[in-house]
Amino acid sequence: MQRREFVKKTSVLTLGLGLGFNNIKKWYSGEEKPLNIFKTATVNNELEINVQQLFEWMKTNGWAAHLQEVLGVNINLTGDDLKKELLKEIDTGKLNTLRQHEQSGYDDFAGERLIQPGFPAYSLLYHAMASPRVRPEGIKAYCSLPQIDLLENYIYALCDWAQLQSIYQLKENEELVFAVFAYEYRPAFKTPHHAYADMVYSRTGIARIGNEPLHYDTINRCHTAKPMDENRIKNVAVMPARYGLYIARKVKNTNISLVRSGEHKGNDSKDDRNDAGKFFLQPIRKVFNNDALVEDATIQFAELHKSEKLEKLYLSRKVAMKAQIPKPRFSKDLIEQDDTLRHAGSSFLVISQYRDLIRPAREDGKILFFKVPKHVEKPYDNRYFTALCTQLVEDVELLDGNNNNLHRVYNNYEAPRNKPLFVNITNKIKQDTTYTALPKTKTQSFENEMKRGDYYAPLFEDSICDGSVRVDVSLLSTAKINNVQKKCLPAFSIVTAPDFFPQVDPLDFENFDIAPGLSKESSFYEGGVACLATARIKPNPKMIDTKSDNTSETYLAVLSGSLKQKTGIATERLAAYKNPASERGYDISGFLPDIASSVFAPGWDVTYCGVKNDIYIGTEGLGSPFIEDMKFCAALNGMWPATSPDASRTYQGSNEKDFRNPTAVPLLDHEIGICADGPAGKTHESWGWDGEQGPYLQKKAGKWRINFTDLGRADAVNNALDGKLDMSQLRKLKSSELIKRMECLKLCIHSLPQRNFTSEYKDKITGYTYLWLVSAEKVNWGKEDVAALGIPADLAGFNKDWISKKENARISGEGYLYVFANSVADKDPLPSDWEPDLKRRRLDVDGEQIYVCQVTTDPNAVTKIAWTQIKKNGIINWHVK
Amino acid sequence: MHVDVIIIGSGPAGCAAAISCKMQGLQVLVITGNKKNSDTKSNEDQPSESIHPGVSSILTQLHAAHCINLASKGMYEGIVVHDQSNLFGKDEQGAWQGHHINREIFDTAFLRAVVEQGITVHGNDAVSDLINTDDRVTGLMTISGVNFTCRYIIDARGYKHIAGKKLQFKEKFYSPPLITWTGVSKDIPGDHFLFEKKITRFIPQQHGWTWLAPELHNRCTWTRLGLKGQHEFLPPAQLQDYAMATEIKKSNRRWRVFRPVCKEGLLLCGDAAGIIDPAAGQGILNAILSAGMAVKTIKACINNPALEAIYLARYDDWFISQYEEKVNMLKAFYTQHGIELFEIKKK
Repeated sequence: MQRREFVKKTSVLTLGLGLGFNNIKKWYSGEEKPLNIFKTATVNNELEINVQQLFEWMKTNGWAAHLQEVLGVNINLTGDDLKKELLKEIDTGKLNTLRQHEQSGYDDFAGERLIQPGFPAYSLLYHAMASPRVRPEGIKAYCSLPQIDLLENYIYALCDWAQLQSIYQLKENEELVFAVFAYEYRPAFKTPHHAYADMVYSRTGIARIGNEPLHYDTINRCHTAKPMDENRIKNVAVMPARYGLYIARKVKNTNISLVRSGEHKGNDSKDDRNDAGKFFLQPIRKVFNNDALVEDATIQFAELHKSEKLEKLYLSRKVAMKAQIPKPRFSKDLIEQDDTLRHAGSSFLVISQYRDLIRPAREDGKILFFKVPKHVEKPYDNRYFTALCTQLVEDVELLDGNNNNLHRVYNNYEAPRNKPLFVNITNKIKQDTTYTALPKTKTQSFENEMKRGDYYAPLFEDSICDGSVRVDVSLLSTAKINNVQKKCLPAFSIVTAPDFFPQVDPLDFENFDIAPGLSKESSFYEGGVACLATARIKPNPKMIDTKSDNTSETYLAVLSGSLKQKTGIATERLAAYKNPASERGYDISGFLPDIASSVFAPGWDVTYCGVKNDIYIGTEGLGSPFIEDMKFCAALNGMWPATSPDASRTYQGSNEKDFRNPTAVPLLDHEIGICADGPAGKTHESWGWDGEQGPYLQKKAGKWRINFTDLGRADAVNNALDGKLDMSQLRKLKSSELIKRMECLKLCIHSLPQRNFTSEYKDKITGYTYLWLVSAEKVNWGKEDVAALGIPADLAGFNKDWISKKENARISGEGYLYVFANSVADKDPLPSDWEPDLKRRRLDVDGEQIYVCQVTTDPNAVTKIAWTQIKKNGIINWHVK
Repeated sequence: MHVDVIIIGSGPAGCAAAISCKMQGLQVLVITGNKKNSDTKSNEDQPSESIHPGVSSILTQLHAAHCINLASKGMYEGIVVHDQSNLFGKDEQGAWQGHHINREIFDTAFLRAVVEQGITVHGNDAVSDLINTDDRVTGLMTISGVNFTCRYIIDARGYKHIAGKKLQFKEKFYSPPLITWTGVSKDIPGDHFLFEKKITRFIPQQHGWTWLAPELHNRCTWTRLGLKGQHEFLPPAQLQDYAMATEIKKSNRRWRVFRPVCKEGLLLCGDAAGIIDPAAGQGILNAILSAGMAVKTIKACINNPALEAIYLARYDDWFISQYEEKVNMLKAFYTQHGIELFEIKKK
């Protein structure tokens, strides 16, 4: 019985007018379903027609048959019959059966109907189309982004506005606004609450630059950094951020489900610990083309972006230009302007123009040159290795404290970066119009020339910028939504460096940093986990007016469409969704701030700018070009582990020995490059992601040495200019794989003799170890022979059988072969022992400190680690644990 | 102590909610100021309440139909409005009949039924405050100092409604301030017209009405309604010559609902959620129906917490819709019978 009829009958009856009440009995005994009482809104005709076409497409491509088979629902119907089918409650038994099968991809679906008006996340049809984990057999094609957008719009269009207000418990005449949000539909693994698949929003979107065009991966329902052209696989495709217009309300943190960090560093005043006093914007309803709620208007997006890195460098007077001065770059030079590409239905994509990742900066066709100032150490050291440094680099984000209180030095935000902190100076002008790399020699002439300065170096530019995305809401009618203010709060748009680990997000590694209770086991000496979504810093006020906006500090927050922070869901599956090491079964590539790294010096995705006590998030302080930041971050144990690769073991000998950042997120030998002169030989030679090669053990004059690339001479900028960067290997790595590597690393450091590089700390701490991971290889112990490419044949005996033969394995299961060594310190502060490539040099192994580890995290393995020290005469003595 | 549902109050709504929870497999606790094992003897001079015939049917499903028989002070088969008899309908089991009940006995019997069904009752205590965690109601504290936690609370405390007050829910009024006064007249002669049929009489007046419910033993419970501040609280003219068995009881019956009637962890039902004057004859029926709906809502929320907001919105929508339907019908009924209560502008 329908509610209205029911109410009428019972009410009339009680007034003694004599109507029946069998329906009361039926309802009370559960024969009726009075919860099906929602009415739907009228949908615009054009939208209805478009949706009909979408349903036709679903029929043609196997989706209708799939849904019929697994749920017994029929989307082959038409008109009102179809609408009834879409809105009815799905058979609970069938839905539960489907959910119980993890492989179905519906296990994290929370709703109960094909369409729940107003809530795409609770609409099974949307989940089927938009969740990358739904991959049924027999499907011929997956939805395009505009099709997914259309379905979203239809789901919102069906929802009566008054009903939506009731669901959100909006107060009468509660003031609402139009606001632009970046948003994604994510499986439960990546929602703030980890309870179910949900829409996830932020007022900030993170697009990424690339040198290949936009590439949408339909089965994964996302854009991918993998180039379309298989022949250009080492390059990186631009990654867009998607935006939509929403009606939003201002709420407190308890009204929403936020991405939060379990880790707070010291007294960092800009993290999310004080959210209780802050206001957030919560999207309530998407507004779209042909939306009857705003009387069918068209949504007109606009973006404005600006790159002012080079102009700010010039204006800071830190360098003098030779002739032309750098001008800021705007959208037309930075952002894709083709509307057919940047409109996905009623949503908008900010897409970086695909170009060389870095290129010489030009004005009027001429390369810009600046005079490199000479090296000075006061008032601050203006060199950082072989880069020009434009202001003091403070020691923050380091592990510090005593044995009982190990902590990470937090950022006081006292040194805003308003110009590039690091500027490349490894090239110099040649014949007034072009440039050449400074020559490297076996002497220190390379380093000395840079110290002397006084030469003109070219400026390089990239397409990193920030800006805003807004909608002209004057075209929208608010007659039906008169409590919505007719102004639009724009979204903050950041267009930044490529994400080397698109499958990995910062918080995935939280338990390896200083998460509560784990501080003594931090794997990161420097940097560590810093997630942009937990920073409470306003956006660039030059792009977004935040003067009278008391939500400006929460622009970076990432929240779910879930209505409240607490969902009440507590199941075993929830634990699996929360576990970053879980196998997820899909490729992700997010564009919200929780996949981006937070601020530091120099930063990776963003910097903090402005003046002390009034800072904002911007990009003007990032490196010139960004590759300069990339190299340093990579050398400092990855620094921002979810985005920047950890190349510290490539360069580990370059640092002063007392501050020698050990690797934290081990990359394998082939990922950082295998040198032909090492034990692997010419046949296995490869180049790493940064165009360099990793370390290896080398015997010279009866002594073991570590042969490695010197950080000061490695030249990522020129590697990038020469097309030597390789993004193809790292983009495939998932959190589950990296977490296994990190767990194995920790197991090794805990098992091997203590070698902390500071004596203050008594415990074995991965982040403090001297032990240098000179080789890392993936192994299936006991099942397969081991290549052992990092093991010299004469390390122990006359061949490698002792480690490479599967029958000699001391452990079983999938794991790694890790080889560690501890080197002596540099004897000479100015090294001169250069290899012929003039980048590599050597450090002696300290005594007999070479250790070979067989290690696994296989839960079925009785023995997780077997390790041996390699004594001078090659004797091995396995220790098992 | 942690349970799925705590029910505040042990009136018809509370007891119906408790038994419904039990039937749905939910762990439930009732907090009441009453003793949980009172006997069912009571003062016969209590004014009767006319109970809607639909209540019997529902109580049968709750295994508590006997409560009506224990509390019954007489039957009625229809209501006379303006001397025109309106009998209730019939079904396969015959003509429907309403009961005049002794409410105190009914409530006590209903609570006993709750206890007999194995439901935990925390009696002789009262709620002092609600426990809120992250903007969600997660339990309550009692005056005796006991804390209980739960997934949901049902406030079924009738017009004394504690949760709405504590959470400062907004009251929405649908009528000017109204007052009822009620009493029992006794020693009425047997040949008085009131006892001609088992008929309850509703007598419209310009600014209110009178309700006459004849009972056994030559008694008649009467209830009158009028605008607040405009009356001496006298028995109806038909009964002014007879003695009163009790003192006259007055009650504020302004039509009001809380907005909303639920939030995360809390649902109001019955009079705790919305009051309409007794002419609608809906007090106990509404209490029991809304209790049932509240329990269904809670069950749905527990089964699928992700959709809690949607289920709660539906409960709120259901409650307010059926309430407003009644308001509109009762207003129309008053207009039809010349009762003028709504000239005064709503606040």
